[in-house]
Amino acid sequence: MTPVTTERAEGVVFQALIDLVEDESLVRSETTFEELKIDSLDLVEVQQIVEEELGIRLLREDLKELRTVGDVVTLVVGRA
Amino acid sequence: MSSEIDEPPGGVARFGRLRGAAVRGLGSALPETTVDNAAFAHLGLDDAWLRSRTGIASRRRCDAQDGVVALGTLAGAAALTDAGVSASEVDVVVVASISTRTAVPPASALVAHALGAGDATACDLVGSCCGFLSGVAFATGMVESGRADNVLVVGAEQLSRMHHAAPEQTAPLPGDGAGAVLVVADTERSRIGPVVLRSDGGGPQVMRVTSDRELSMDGAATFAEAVPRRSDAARAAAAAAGTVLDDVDLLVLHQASGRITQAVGRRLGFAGDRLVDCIETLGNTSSASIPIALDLARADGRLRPGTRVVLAAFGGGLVWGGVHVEWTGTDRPGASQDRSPRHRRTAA
Repeated sequence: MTPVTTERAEGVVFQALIDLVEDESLVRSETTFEELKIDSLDLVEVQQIVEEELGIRLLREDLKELRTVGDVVTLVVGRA
Repeated sequence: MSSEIDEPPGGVARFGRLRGAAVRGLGSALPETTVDNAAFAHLGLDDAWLRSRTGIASRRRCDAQDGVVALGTLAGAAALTDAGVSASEVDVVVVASISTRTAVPPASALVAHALGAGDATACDLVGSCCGFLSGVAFATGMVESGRADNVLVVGAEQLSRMHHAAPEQTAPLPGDGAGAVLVVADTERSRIGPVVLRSDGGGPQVMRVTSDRELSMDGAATFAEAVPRRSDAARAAAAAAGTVLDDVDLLVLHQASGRITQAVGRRLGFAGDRLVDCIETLGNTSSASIPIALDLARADGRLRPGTRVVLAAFGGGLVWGGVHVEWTGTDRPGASQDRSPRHRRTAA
């Protein structure tokens, strides 16, 4: 299985968010979920896409403490 | 016939071996009263939040004289008129519902009587939000096996009868309504593919309706379970019918919430005119939502003879499923009954 590098995790997470938000230029590591106007259901969708594409299972509880796009990437890489 | 159709994957039974089945008639019925989101302000749920979270701006609710039987009868009558089949020719009436007023007599017998299909067999199906697909599976099997020629499948709900468990955030979701299709024999081949139905009684109980009509639902958990299972069901239904989703014209999902519909659409590559998303003015009508959505898609020209459509649903239980249908019904505006003064398209 291809290792989950930061670049690969970013690719999956960023694309999942780009599909969800109106302004894809906002999808950067430092952007907060509030700035992206995404909510908990959007994060569930990102969680599912991460599991399908990378085989990494995140829990809903894991996501509650996250604030930024970069936080998701860091969590994914940490669980790889 | 290709080998893929002869031997569909996943252990699904072969279909169309004796004779074909097809959908001929389609109809729906919606109650007159519209309830908008302002009605839920007292629960601390504002319009903007509800639209964002559910995609719902308003829903229909039955008045005292309406209910599953009344709406189901109107929808069934519309489907029969659409098909040009008289009630006396109907062999079986199936009513899928989770909100009938009585378990006995079954709503299906009352609908059959009201339609004038007095000799028809009647049975109710409690299949959660997947009940309509279970009814289509039952009807298709009856017709293909030659045990029935005309089977009327009705999905009808009066979910406004339910009480909502605290914190009552689910209260704005339900709507009332009914839809129906007539499944008939097709001399060439089955136009209704294998109905892929699954259940997992050991899965998370994301939704519950108790015998005293209390409805509770965990919205986020439902979203988490519904999106992948519906997506898988849609893919499996296409594969079981020997095709792929890229070759499907229209995706019609049980309208549980706009967020789920759009998420499944993104997952499967359906958007715009290929994805039916009609929850905004209807709410979640459980067993009724798929035939109502089909009727609306036909009314706006997206469902025509030859259209290849995949239907998929997920509900508490857990139960979920899908089916590929080559549309063989009419493309004319139906005899459906929208009783709202603003939306009358009622047969004379």
